[in-house]
Amino acid sequence: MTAERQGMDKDTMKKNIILEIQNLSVSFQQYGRGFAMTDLDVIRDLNVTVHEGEIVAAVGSSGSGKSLLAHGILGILPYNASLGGRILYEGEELTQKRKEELRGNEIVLVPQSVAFLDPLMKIGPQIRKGKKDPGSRKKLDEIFEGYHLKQEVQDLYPFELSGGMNRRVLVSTAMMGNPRLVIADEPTPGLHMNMVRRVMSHFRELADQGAGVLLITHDLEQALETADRVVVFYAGTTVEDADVKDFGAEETLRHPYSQALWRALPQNGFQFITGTQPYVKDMPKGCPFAPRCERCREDCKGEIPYREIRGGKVRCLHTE
Amino acid sequence: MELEAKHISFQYGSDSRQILNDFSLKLTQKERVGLIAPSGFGKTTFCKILAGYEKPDQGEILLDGRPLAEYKGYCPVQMIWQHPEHLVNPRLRMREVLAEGDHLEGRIVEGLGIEPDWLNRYPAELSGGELQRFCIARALGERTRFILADEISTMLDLITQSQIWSFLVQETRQRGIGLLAVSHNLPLLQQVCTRVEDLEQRD
Repeated sequence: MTAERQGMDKDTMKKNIILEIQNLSVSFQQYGRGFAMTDLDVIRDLNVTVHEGEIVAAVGSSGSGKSLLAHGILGILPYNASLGGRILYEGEELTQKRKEELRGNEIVLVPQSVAFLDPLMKIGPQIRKGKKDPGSRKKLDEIFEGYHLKQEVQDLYPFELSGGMNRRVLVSTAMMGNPRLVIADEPTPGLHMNMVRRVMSHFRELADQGAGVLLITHDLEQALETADRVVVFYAGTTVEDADVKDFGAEETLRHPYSQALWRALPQNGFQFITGTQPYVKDMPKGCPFAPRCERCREDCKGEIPYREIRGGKVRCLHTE
Repeated sequence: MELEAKHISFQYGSDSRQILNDFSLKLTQKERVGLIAPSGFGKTTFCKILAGYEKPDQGEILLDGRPLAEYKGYCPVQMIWQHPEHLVNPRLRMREVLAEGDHLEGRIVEGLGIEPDWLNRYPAELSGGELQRFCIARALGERTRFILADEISTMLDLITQSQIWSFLVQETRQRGIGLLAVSHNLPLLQQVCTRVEDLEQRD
């Protein structure tokens, strides 16, 4: 799959693609016994596209590779990780150098925990990135007010915040600049429903102003409430790319795993499939979902292409 | 058996906000009660008081008419928390984490889908969903009569959520363990519980 759209005139396209991730893979080098090294393929074949003005939710259970995706885009993977596949930002390859230039400015991360903040810097200056001009101060004051954070919070250190305050502070970081791409890694657990809605409406505002938002979450219900498109992750692979509308019924979904998720919603019967997501070390060949799938046949052990069906994409051989 | 919270009021320290205010709730061993309440109501605090981790400023917790504090040894009321990663000792292998609870039937470990291989691992080597299975198993010891589940599946994916709840419902029903489930997810509570107390709708 080569990126032919690089040559295309952007104005002729309906909606510009901000971020395009093609068959991304991440592997970790580990030491075994002595000096023997092994490669652990944690992610293989991730495909995600984010257009401008769009909220795309990446949904998967823990261990499906969601956070690594975010860290891969921003270039903050640990030193023993190596990245494969391609990441295009505004049609151009996103190299490590470009990542470092863009992150914090055009590309912002709403991280998963306060461990990402500098523990020795007070909240206010940290979020303003040291800027002291009246404009930045006013903007932060307004953001904090919107999230019911008292002005005193700006004078606290990260460890002094409660769980809910933490979350709101982390989300504020993204609202400070004028980002083109927002990557939010599980931004809302521990927040009350009303606050979740508020955070989500801010993401929507950013999208309406032309930014792309990649919302990484384990919570399908939240994704369906907020996003325009949902990309489903399973064991380090994207198995389906679907419009939110497709989650209205089981039949409009494409992949057996997405359908299993749908059936597991309390309002859709609360049914479950047995077993757990396979570990990296004992990943089956071919389709990672095969051991739990009732449609699994012999050919599922081979290469599974990511193909287009009914306006969405799916990595499954046995679905129409 | 019957677990009763009578006129519970509570605040953390005299200068902080009143969270629970004259709240009462009763549940029997045959019931699974769902509790929905607005933010700041003190749902987690209420569970902690019910399980004996906190003392209420006013009111009392009765188990079969006797104050819970009078029961010595293993507490028949066990709580399962929202964030399992904070509730296991990071330096213990999972086998030892399980042993912190009461005597446990192998059936429970199996029913929760805990793989034998996980028992030899440390908490950091397991995902949130896997850890939560251990926390649930640990709470289901032989002498447990009531389970308090405080947002136990918020952090989990849908399939794990459904697996875990279906086991808990089956286990508590079979052994006659009463269950209090706190969640903001009404459809979930309607699936799981025999009765739902929705305090958001009340006033």
